[in-house]
Amino acid sequence: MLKLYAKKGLLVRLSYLAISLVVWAGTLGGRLFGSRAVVLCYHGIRDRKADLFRRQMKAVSQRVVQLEELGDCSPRGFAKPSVVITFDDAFENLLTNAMQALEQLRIPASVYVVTDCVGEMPGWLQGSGHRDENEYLMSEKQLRVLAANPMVSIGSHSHTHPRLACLDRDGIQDELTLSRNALEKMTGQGVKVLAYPHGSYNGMVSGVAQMCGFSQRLTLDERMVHVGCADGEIGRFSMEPDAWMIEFRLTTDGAYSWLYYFRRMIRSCEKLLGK
Amino acid sequence: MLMESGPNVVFKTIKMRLKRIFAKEAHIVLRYEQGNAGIRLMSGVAYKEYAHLSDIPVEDIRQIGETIGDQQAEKMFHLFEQGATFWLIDIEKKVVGYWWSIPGKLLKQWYIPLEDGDVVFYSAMVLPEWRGHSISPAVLIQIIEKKMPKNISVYLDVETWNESAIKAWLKAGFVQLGAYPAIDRTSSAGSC
Repeated sequence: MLKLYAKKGLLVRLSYLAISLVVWAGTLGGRLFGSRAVVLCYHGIRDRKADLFRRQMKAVSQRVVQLEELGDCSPRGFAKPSVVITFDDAFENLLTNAMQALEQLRIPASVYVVTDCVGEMPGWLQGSGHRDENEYLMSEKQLRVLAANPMVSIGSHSHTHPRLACLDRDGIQDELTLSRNALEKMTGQGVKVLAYPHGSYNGMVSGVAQMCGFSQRLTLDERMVHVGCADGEIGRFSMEPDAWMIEFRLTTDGAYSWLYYFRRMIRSCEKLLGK
Repeated sequence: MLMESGPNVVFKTIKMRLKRIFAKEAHIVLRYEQGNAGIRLMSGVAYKEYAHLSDIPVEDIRQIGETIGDQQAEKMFHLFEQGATFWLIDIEKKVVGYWWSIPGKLLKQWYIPLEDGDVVFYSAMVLPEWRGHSISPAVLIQIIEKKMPKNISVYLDVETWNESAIKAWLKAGFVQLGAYPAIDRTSSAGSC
C-alpha cells in the first residue's frame, strides 16, 4: 500500500478498498489475525494533521505494542491483530503533533533516524519538491530526550537515506555502521532495529545488516508479522494521518495484506513470461 | 527409472508456483562441507562443462532451446559474458537440466562476503518429469569433487518454500548459513 493514500488515483484507491472489504469480511473483521501484528509506517505529522493522527491512534490504542516486544507477545487468539506504530526519518514535527497524543493514550512508538541529517532539513529530499522538503529533522538533544522516554524506541534509518539495494557491499556497510555508531553514541543505547530507506533491500543488504547487528529490519512490503517470531525482515504498511478512516481501520485489521501476495503473483507471472 | 508425465507434471508445477507465492519470501544460503557417499549419480546421467556459448554442440543448443524456451536460451549469452560456466546434464544424450556456476570475485552481489577462489552455483534447472530423483545434488557433488580445487568454498541458495530441496542439500553434505531475502528481488521499493 506504499503511497496508496496520497499518490494513487481515486479509482485505484476505491478498487483496493473494495477488495480489502471482501478480505476483511472473509477474515471475520480481522479476528482470524490474532497471532499477527500490523506495523504502520508514518513519516512526519504536519500541524494540520495532528487531530487526524490523534483520531487514528484512539481507534487502535487498546492493541498497540512496542516493536521490540513483539517477539515476546503471545497470540491473542480470536482477536484483531496487534498494531505497532513506527515513524521514519525522525521529523521534528512529531514532537509537537504526535508525541502528545501518544503519551496521553499510553501508546508506544519507534522512531528511525537518518544520522547524517540530525537537526537539519532532509538532505535526500532537497530539490525534489516533496511536501516535507522544508521540514526539520530532530536535533541531537531532542533525540536524546526522546530516547530517555520508555515508551519510545530509537532505531537506524541509515546514515544518508540512500537506496541500499543500489549500493555495493562496502557502501552498505558504511551506511549502516556509521548510523549505528552515531545513534549509540547519541542515545547511549544499543541499536538493533533498522528501517530500510525507501524500503529498498535485497539479500546482500539484509546480509550486511545482519552482520552489523540489526536483528529486526523493517521493509515497506505490506505483510503482517507473526507475533512470537519477530526477527528478520518485517513488513510495514505505509500510513498517512489523512487516510480515510475506513482505510485506516481495514489496514490495522490486516485487510490490505492481500496486496503483498498480489504483487508476488504479478512478479511470479512476469518471471514466467520472461520479462 | 520412469519419468513422470501428463497431468502429474502440470499438477506439480501449479502446486510449486502457488507454494512460491504464499511461502515466506526468503532464500537459504548453503555451503558445501563434506560429500555424502550415499548420493550416487544414476546410471546414464552425464554432465558436460562449457565456458563459452560457441563450445556447445548444435544439437545440445537445439535441445536447450526446446527445454527452456528460446527467450531463456538468449539469456545464456549474457551469463557467459559475465564469466559464468554452464554445466549441462543429460540422460542418454537427452538434455534433462543444467547448472550455472560463477567465481565469487565476479559476483557483484551475494548474501555474504566471498573470498577470491569461492564459487557460487545458481540457476539450476531439472525438467519437471525428472524431478525427485536427486539428479541435481548428485551431479553437483560430482562436479565439486572432481572439477573444483579442494581449498575453496562452494555456495548455493535455495528458496525457503522448497523444503524438499533444502533437505536434499543438507543430506548431500551442505550446511545452512542463514536466511536472506532474494538477491534479485525487484519490487517497486527494492529496485534501483
